[in-house]
Amino acid sequence: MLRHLLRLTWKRKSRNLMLSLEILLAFVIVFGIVATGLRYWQLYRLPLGFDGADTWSVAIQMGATPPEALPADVYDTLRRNLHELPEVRAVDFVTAPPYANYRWTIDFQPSKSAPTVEIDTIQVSDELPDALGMKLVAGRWFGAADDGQDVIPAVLDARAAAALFPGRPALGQRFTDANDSVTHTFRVVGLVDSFRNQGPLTAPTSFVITRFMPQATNWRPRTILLRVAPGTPRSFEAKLNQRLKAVRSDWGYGIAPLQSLRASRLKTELMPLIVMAVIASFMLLMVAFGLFGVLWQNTTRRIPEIGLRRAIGARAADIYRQIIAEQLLICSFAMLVGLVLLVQLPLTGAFADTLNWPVFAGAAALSMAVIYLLSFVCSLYPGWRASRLDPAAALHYE
Amino acid sequence: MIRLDKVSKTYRTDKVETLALKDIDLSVQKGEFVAMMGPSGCGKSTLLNIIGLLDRPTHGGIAVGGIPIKRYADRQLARLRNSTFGFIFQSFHLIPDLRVIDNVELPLLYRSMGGAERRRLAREALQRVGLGARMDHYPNQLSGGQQQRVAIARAIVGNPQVLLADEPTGNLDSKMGAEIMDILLKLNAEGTTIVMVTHDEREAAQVGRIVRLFDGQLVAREAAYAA
Amino acid sequence: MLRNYLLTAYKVFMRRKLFTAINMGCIVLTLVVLMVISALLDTAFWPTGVEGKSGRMLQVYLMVSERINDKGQRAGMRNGPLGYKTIARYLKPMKSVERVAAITTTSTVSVYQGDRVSRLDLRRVDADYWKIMDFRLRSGRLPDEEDDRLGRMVAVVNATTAHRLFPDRAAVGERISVAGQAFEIIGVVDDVIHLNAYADIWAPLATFPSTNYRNEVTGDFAALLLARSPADLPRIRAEVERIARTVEPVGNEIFGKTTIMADTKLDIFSRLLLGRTNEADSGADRLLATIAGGMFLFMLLPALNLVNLNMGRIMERSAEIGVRKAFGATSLQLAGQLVVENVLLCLAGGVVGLACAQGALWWLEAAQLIPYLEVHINLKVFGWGMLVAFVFGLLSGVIPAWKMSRLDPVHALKGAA
Repeated sequence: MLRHLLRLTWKRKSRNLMLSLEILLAFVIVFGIVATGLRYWQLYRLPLGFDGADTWSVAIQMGATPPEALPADVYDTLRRNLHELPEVRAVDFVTAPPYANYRWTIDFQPSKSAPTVEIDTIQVSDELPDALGMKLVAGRWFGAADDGQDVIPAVLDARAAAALFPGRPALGQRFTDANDSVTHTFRVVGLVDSFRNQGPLTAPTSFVITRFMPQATNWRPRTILLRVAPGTPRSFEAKLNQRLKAVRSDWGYGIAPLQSLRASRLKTELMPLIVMAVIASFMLLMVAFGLFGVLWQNTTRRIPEIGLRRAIGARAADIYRQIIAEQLLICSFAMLVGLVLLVQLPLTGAFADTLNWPVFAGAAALSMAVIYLLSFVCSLYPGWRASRLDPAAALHYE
Repeated sequence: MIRLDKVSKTYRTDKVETLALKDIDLSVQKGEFVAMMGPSGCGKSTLLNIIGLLDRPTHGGIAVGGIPIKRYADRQLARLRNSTFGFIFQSFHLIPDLRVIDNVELPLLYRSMGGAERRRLAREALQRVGLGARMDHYPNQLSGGQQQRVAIARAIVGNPQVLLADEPTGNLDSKMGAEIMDILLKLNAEGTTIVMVTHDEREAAQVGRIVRLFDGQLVAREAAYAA
Repeated sequence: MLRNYLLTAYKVFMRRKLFTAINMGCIVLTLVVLMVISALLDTAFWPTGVEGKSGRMLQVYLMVSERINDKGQRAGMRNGPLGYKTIARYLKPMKSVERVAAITTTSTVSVYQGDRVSRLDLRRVDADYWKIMDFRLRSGRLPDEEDDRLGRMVAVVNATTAHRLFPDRAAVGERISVAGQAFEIIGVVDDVIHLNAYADIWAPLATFPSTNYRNEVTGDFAALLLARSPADLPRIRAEVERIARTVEPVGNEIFGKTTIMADTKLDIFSRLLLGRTNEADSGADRLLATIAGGMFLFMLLPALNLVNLNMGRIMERSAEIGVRKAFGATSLQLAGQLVVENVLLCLAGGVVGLACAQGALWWLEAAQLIPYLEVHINLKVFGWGMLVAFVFGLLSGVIPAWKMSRLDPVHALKGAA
């Protein structure tokens, strides 16, 4: 029976061309959306590299104060004042908090002659593991032992270590930043697995975390990361603001728990996908309408054939099954063409990381399921009507 | 073989009731060749449909092969049609998108049978009607007579006991019509029961028995003239 | 003759109710989506109401500074919003404008009321802002030059915020702590979401915690330039270009070339969406063309549907067509019949779609997916929508009509074999 239907559908392919094109288009659209969603899911499940559940971020708004105008000890003052608050457990200074739309990359090189590698970087002070809940896999974090040295300690993630020192252990190695004005030398004192400060939906990048040395450089971090006691209410913010104002009243402070930064970041990143999905569902609805109509028409055109089949012994259920099976076959042809086109993407490496094979396979399977389901539902009513035809009347249909 | 007892058929539309058949008593023996004749609109096609289990009578009963057809469900009727009857239509009703051989094996698709077996029976049926060389052609590549022969092959491929032909030569010229009649007579001689609706007196004269209808009722039964 | 066409069309539709319903469904759905999107874009690019003067307004959100090295190549670049100093020194004294306002972009601040913390979007503006925008004042008053000069800690809130902060009493006259600073609420305005008008709470520039902002060449500021008439805009752009060439580098930054972008609202969105923040051309034309192209593609699918269905309908009616031809109807008349049917269906779909689109917009406003959204279907959008429906009907009727006119009447009368 299947071969019979295959032959039938294949012979009628030109008549079904427009329908097949619609299905192909719908398939490609659904594939795009599902693949994006799956990729986000894939990224979401990768480890973040930090916890941040009880961490608050304070963004210091100091206007365009030049770095030189900031005394190095203002940070110590801040730290001391903040620790006086009973709710505060750890205080750290960073260039920018996680989940912020902030990226800073520098070209690093393991030695003067070696090629440079562009790596994300951030400056933090010594309490970051405590403030953010990070775990080292090797070595140690920054500490007072690094004061007064002329090399800046750095912690690398696995990717940066592999990029700068391929094939050899990175701990203890030195490297520099390839800057034409002032060159800084760094030494690897610790390693982490990964650090995804852009959030769970951004692809992981390599990272070099360097120590904030107010005496050695004129970089001045503008964000404070605090770990507070679990269960601290939001109203703690007023007290915190007051304390910070007491230190520097000419600064503004933007206080937010890391979780709310995370929530708004996720919302912004998922918004385009959601909008696309809404538009895609409209298109699918349109395709469903079209499918239904064309199927109805096809069935009407084939009334004599249906009458014949009933006369020679097809049951109503056989006709019903045939209509639905033919529709699914048309879908399969269209989707096969679609798959052949789409598989070029991972094969040629376009969207290299985003459309990797697991994402492709998952998206293909899910999209096919959606399209099959759509076709199935659209063919239910026409198929039912076809199976209900009176054979005698159908044979004499004009 | 086939017995109709006081069969009546009434068509009911919104407002109008049409009495198509009234109190038909008919008996067809195994191996007979019966022709049904009558003016247009007298109900011959309706009667043929009822005999072929395509339609249910409003009153009366049918028995096929001795078994009475009572409240059979669609499923069982379909199976009976498949195994017992073969249909031949005036407009051939071949599926244009399928090759000749695929058209012929169509009834066998609704039985559980392997593909090779189907092929073999289809080829044999085509050879019986003399079209063994045209298996891979499409219906639109054949003449009218050849198309009807394909339809006959399709009707006999499952070895049915009864062939029901509704004006089989209606769309053919006299020469092709004669060819078709020859095949039908040959099949009848080999033992197939045939009930044929026809307009043509000369064709009817070639068969064993003529049944005449007028306004839904049997008019007279005539014994066959020897051809 | 037209009446004849219309009557026949109506009968045809009633005969095949299911098909008519499907066709209508497709058309209505497409038109609803297109009209909703057009209405939203219309509100964004050419707003009325609070930013009603947008037709003669330019906003400056971006300044690009390029550093040229001694070889004459570009060695570095910074682009971003302006600082107050740039606005005050270079833009405020412009001759060809009626008014220049300096505003900040919104920042989220915490408002402390005892134990309650509310997160609000704060915008700091000068007195000129209130004269360029047409806010609807509900109670109290708007800040003026005197508030600016004296540095009064006053604030204006919108209606939703007033209700949120003080659910049981009037907000005017109350005091709140905004990020640690004490403010007095002097006015309540209606909610609004437009490019420059959106905020939950507004405060004068002088209320910054420090006066550092006055010395910043770059910062978080934008400038609003109000022209005397829409025809002045090119002249203003030219003057801005001239001024940009005179901008001096600051401190030890040797930035050689400065470009100041004075944009219409369309330009701003275009820069945002197309990522063209570095060149003077915002790509607005490209954006409009892309949107139009996207809408056309969106229409393609239902148009294909309609063409398909119409083709099938012709096959069904081939006997009728054959009869008509046999009785002397010309191909043109028959084609005309079909096209009229199609256009009629599409126009009817357009009217229904309009009602549904209005409903969808009301729902959008109520659901507050975009806060404070207020969007209408104005005459322009309506006319455009009907035009689209009409073109739709023509397009999807032409191909089947052409096919039908080539039907052989004899073949058609005999019906398909």
